[in-house]
Amino acid sequence: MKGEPKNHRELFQKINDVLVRRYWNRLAWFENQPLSSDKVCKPVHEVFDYVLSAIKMGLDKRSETAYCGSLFLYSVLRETQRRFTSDVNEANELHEVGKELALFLWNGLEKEFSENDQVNLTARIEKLKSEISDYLWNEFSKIRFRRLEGQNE
Amino acid sequence: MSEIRRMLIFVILLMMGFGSFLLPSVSAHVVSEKDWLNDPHDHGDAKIVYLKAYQFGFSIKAIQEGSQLEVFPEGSEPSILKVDKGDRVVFRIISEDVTHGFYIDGYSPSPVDQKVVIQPGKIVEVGPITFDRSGKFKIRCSVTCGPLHPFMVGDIRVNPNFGYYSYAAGSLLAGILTLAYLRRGPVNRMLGISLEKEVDLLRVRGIGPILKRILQWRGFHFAVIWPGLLIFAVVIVAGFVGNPVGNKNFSIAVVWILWFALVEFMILFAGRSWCTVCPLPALGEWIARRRLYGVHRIRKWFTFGLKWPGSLNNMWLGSLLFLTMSLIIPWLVTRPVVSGLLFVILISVGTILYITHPPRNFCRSICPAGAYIGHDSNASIYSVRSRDKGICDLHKAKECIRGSPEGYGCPWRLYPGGHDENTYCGQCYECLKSCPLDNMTVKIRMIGKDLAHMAVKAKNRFDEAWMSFIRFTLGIFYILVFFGPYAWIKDWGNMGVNFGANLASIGLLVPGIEGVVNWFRWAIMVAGVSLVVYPAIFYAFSWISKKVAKAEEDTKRIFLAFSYGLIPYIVFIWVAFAVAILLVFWAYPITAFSDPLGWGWNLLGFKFKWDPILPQSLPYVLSSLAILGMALSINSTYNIAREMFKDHSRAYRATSVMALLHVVSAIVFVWVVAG
Repeated sequence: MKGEPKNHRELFQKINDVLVRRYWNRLAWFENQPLSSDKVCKPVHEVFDYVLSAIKMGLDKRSETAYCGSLFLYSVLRETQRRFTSDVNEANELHEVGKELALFLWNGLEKEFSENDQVNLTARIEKLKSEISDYLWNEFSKIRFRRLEGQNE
Repeated sequence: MSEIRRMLIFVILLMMGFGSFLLPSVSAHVVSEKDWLNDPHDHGDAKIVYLKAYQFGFSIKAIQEGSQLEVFPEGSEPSILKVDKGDRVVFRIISEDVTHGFYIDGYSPSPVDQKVVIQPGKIVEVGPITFDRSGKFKIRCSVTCGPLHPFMVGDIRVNPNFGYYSYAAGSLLAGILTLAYLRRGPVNRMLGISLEKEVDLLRVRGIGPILKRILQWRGFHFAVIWPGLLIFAVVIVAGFVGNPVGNKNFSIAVVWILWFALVEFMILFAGRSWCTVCPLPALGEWIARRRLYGVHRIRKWFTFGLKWPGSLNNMWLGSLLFLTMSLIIPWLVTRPVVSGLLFVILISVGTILYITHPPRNFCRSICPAGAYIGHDSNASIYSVRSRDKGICDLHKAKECIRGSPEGYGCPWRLYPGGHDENTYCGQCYECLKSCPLDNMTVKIRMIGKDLAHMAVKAKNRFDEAWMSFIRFTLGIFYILVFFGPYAWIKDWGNMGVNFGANLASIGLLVPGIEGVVNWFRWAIMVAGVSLVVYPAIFYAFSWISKKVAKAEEDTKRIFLAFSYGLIPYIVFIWVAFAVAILLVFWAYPITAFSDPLGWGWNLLGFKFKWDPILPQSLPYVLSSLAILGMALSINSTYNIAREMFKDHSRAYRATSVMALLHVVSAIVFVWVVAG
């Protein structure tokens, strides 16, 4: 696929870019209540949980990963207090990223599920989840810090 | 207090006196049977009509004028009485079989105030009645006398029948005026109204946002289906154990009077809205999705997931099932147990097919009601459409097809963002719920907006063309059978069986050999006209259109395209039928809610007796509706021709030929109802 990330770093970067433009920018960066990692990574966590359940249920990879794109989009809309977006580019970007993320997770977890290696599976899930959450939280914090600095100047 | 009561009684008495002054003089008394023909009575200058009432019709045995008695031989007794305006007529009526009633539209007092009862073995004399208004009036049976009782009618033509002549001439005039209007070459307009104009109902100030919230609420579909499911349960129970007399049974009165009529209005004003509330596939849908209304994505659907055969992906099965149902319509609409069985079959097939072949293949390709509702709703003013197709094209995810956390993908296997016809849109509003771009809406537009482009792109849609022919001919047939004076046609369709039925009396439904033979005659007649005769006439007119217009397109293409032009006509003819059954039989379904099984209950505290509303106006109301449908149809044909030929002159010439057929059809319709 054109523009498809070659490795997971590239994918994380892509998710980060889209989240900055389509999600974090709409959040109140400097609100009194500090933003939690869960709030910042909510769409990613929702896709993560869904993929996990879908693999467990033995659902179809192709249709479910496509659905995850919508899940990602709707998660962003919900978290930014919206029901719809009037921007078709926003919808496309969020959907595409959500789908790619789901595919990445599916491919990463599928093997463990097929081998039924519970120990390895739990460790792999935790590793993947923390890897992506940490990455996004760090990126978010960096941007926030830069903005705070800019505001203070 | 007593003063007020006395005044009230005085006012009521005054009103009763005033009322009887307005009503025609109708009296009834019983004399012995031997007096009927052998002992002519002297009623001065009044004609004496010797009328026979029988299951299910009236026929005239003899007419006496002064000392002259004209007796009609057995087998050629007319069911239409012709009198001149101003004639005074005395009816001497006998019953040949069971107890009947006698009521004349517009001349008899309300049957609630005065019911004329004709018992077997006795002669009832009614009149003299002075026929001081010309036109066509129905004689109706006012006492429940058997399964086809509601359709036991005879005709009285009071000459000169100016109403009929006026409406027949009106059909011609309306055709000429429509053609005169089309001569100016209006583009994309319907009788002067632009087809481009649409109202986005969900953006109408006030009602729009409320409606949008309702339609996007996940519980909406469930909320409108379950009352229907409850009604269906009552229909099935009443069908099997309720009163075998159809008009006293919920399954007949509510389904075949109320539903049958309301669906026609829904088609015109709300498209396929019946499919929104229809409970037939609901059980299957709930079982398959394992949810009543929420979106439950993470569980596997409880289905076999088999693929629907491509060869069945059309309207053929639905149209032929509709025709088959119409062939047994005299049984279906009068025998509760037959209706009960039909609904058990439909609900079972709908449920099983959803599980084996999800999602709504039953609704798309099999349901006979779904087929005709979908077909006719292309002339509806209501549609579910995208606001901007360009946005849908740009949108990659297509949640309206695949589903989203807020809604399922279209269960009708459409691409809602791009579709531009109502045929297979079941108006479940899943696309409104699942679209993240808020690009789906409900649009109100002028009748016939989609027909031109539908017709032009329909290269091999013989199924939809034949649905048009079946619906069009059956619309006129239904009026002839149910409201016409010809008892033989009812008898043929009824297989000569004079019993109603529930489960306990189902054995009484077995027809004799003669009844079965007559039914085959009826079936060949009805199916022959709708499947062969009318399509052949339509093809011939299409061929002449091609020649007259010097069109390059082949006749087959013109024939198929012009068949879509019939749809507004069909809708208005069926609306006319709906008006007739509602005005005449309104009391039955309302009473059935209070006494669903016909066991004499009064659950809701109301019961109404049969009392038709303005039945004498029906010929004119029905004719007006048909003429309006004809004008819309001619205009639609022009729009189709214009889209196909891309030339006004050729389109106009082709339309003129088809207009002739439509005008003749309107005159036939006017003759059936008013002639």
